[in-house]
This record gives sequence, C-alpha cells and structure tokens, in this order.
Amino acid sequence: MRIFDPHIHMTSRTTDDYEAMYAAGVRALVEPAFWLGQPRTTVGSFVDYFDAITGWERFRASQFGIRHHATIGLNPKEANDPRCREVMGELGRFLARESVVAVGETGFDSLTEAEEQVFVQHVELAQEHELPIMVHTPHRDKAEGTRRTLAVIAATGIEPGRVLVDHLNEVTVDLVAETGAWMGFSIYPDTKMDERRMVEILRRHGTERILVDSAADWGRSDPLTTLKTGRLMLESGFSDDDVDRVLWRNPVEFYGQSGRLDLSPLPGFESSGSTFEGNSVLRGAPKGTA
Amino acid sequence: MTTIDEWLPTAVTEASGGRDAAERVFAQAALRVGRDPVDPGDTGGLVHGTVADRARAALLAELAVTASGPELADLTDALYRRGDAEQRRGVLRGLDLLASALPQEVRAAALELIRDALRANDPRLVAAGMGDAGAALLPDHEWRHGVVKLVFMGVPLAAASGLDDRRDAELARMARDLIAERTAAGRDISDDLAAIAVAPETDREHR
Repeated sequence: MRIFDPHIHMTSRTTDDYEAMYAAGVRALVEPAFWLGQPRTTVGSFVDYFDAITGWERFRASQFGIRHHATIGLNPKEANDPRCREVMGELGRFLARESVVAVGETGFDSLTEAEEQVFVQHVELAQEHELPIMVHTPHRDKAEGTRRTLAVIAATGIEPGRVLVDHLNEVTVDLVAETGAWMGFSIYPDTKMDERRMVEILRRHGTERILVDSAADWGRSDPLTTLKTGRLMLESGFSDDDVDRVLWRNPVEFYGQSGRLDLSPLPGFESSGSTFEGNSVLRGAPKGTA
Repeated sequence: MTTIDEWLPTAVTEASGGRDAAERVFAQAALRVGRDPVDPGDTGGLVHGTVADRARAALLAELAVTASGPELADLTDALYRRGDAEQRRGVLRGLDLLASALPQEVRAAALELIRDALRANDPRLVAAGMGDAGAALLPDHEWRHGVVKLVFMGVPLAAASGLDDRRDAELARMARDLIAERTAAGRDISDDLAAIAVAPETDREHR
C-alpha cells in the first residue's frame, strides 16, 4: 500500500512517527500551516514557522524517505487576532516556494467576519499564485460553517476542483459533494472521523474526489490512521485499486494541480511503496508531477 | 503554605512597588498558597478555580481599588499577556470579581483577554474565560461559541456563568446540530449538551 497523507502536522511529531509512517507505506505528505495549540502574538512567530515547514521539516522528512510539501496560510483561529493578520502581507514570498503546493489551512473557526475576510484573501492569493486551496471546516457549528464556507467559495468564483474542503463528516459530506470540490476526511482516534465511519462514507459516495488524512498534530491523534483506513477498506470488500485511488492518486491529483509535487524516490530509499499489480509505482500520477 | 487571608496583605504591599514587582508576586502566588481546586469535587478547578486562581483574583481586585481605569487596563493586560496559563486564569477570575463594576476603560481590554482565552486549547483557560466577566462582556455569537467549546472540551457547563439566563434559541439550534453530528457518528450525548438543546422558552414554561 502506498500512502500520501494530504494533511499532517509533522512539526508536532517524533522521528519514531516518521519511521512508522515509512514502514506503513507513506512516501509523501502535505503539512498545512496551522497554529501551535496556543495563540501566536507576532508576525515573526509565523515567519519562523513557515520557514520551518518549508525547510527544516522538509529535510527531516527526507531523512526518513518521505517527500514533504507544505501549504501556507493564516489559520482561521488566529485570523481573529489583528496582530496575527499582519502576516497576510508576508504570505506571497512563501507561496512562491517550490515546496508549497496549496494555500491554507483557511476557512472558518468561530464563523466571524474577520475569518471570512481573511478566507476571501486566501482565495485571491490562490488564484494569483495558481495554487489549489485547502479549507478547514470548523469543529463548532460544523454544518452551518460548511454551508458558509461553500457560499464564500461560490462567491469568489474559484473553480471548485481546485478546492479541498477538509474535516468533513456524515452531516457535511453531501453539502460538499454536490459542489464539485474535493472532500477531505481526518481520521482521528476519538473525535472527527474514525476508520469504520470513513468506510461507510466511501460505500455511499464512492472514491471520487475523496481524500483521507490523519491530521495528526500535537493533540491525541495517530499518524497511521491512513493505513488503518486502507486496511479496513480492503477487509470491507474494496479493491486494491480503490485503496490506491483514495490513499495515493486522489491526493496526488489534487495537489498536483500546483505543478510542484515531487514524488520521486529519495536517494537511498526505494520508490513509492510497493508496485501496484505489477504496474509502475507512479501509476495514476498526472504527467509532470511524478 | 499559607492561607489567602494571610498572604494577601503582604502581596498587595509588594505588588504596589511597580509593574515588575506586581508581575513577580502574581507569578509566584501558587508557590505561597497552593494550587488545589477550591472545591475538591471540581477536578482541575474548572468550574470554581483553584486556590491560586482565587488568590490572584483577590490580588487583582485589591490593586483595582487604588488604580485608575487606564492603569487597571494596563495592569490587567500586562499580567495576562506576559504571564503563563496559570497567571492568565488568575487575571480572568479577577475580572470576574470586578465584573459588576468594571471601569469603562477596562471593559475593552478585558474583552480582548477573554477572547484570547477562548481561542486557547487549554480547557482551564476557556472555562475561566466563561465566568462572570465573559458573561457580562462577550457578544452573543462569541458567548455561544464559548459554551459549545466547553462542551467540546468536556468541561461541565456549570463553568459558564449565567447560562440559564443567557442561553437562547440559537444556542439550542447549535446544540441540536451537534447532537445530530454526534448521533450520526455513533457517539454519546452528554447531559449538558442535551440540556442546552432544549429551546429555553419551552424549557422555562415547564419549570
């Protein structure tokens, strides 16, 4: 099984995690810019963090055979603090970096006007830098938050196929499915989604435009829930091809829209997971991204 | 260890010696009076705070007696923003003591601190932000999000001051949506969540 984790916060994880992820088949991941678990207070704090997730963390992942990419943005929670919003003027130089494959995480947290303004600015940055955009949906008031998220996306005119709406669940998936945007599911040990519920959603919706991520961070989370979901899919009657589509080809197709994905094997490591039914390991990857 | 009553007069004297002195006394309060929950049944002091919270709150309230409005706004802001999570809780609980008579100059500063606490992921801070000062100062939308955040964090809703007076149909709507999500996910519904999902008008008629 080859795995691309489309959403994981590796700065909060250990080298043991990297080793376990490689052993599980993870060969590439995306680390979205996020908050620290407690609020930042200055622009400098963001700048150093953005440098870390496009620099040191990328190098650290490479030592374990995993290709690391990032998304850059001001997260919705901190968008409510005027001291943090000043970072919006700094995002351009980071969005130009070769390791940055999307704008985000952006979207709503508490459904405030400040969040909406910053969300719209992110969509404009995505259009300017020709990048896809990764949108977080809120924990609180999730269904209403998802409806407002989709209204903002529709109003900006961005092509829905360039938008990933993440942290969905049984209640919000249908809202996103009908728009043509990509649907992300974060598989957590206790909240958000679990593997069993994810497999039920895949049964109902099929595998098209669906991404599964661990969203592992500093909270109680598990960087191997991608693998566990893949295994449960197989046990539940999905084919190897279905699993490969959800855990590899779909994230590659979505983030591949940046034109910046590097999925070549790292020196000293084998190529992306096992071969798939005798075919190339890069089967299904769009031209120019593999 | 000493009691709050024994500690407070000396603490006030020392803290009156300037900003640095006030910050030091405030920072070290728990080392003097302890940090157990005020109510032993209240794990972590989420609802009623800790002994240290109470000491720091009392100190802030004493310092407020002699400070002008702008001075109190500055002091409150500094003690919170330059302090750790324990000091921040003490400031928030101090604002609770002052909530009914908060000088105009302090209200805006206090609201920003409460908002900062509600953005945190530390349940003790969020709980302290939802005390009397939070209830007095937070606009409806933010206050409702604070209540739902407590539910997410597993904090008893007894921590939300004035809940029964302030909860409204919109909060009940948010709670019902959350119940729908949790039911779809096969998760448990807490008694607190079920209680706020009932529209308050209906609920009050039946009382």
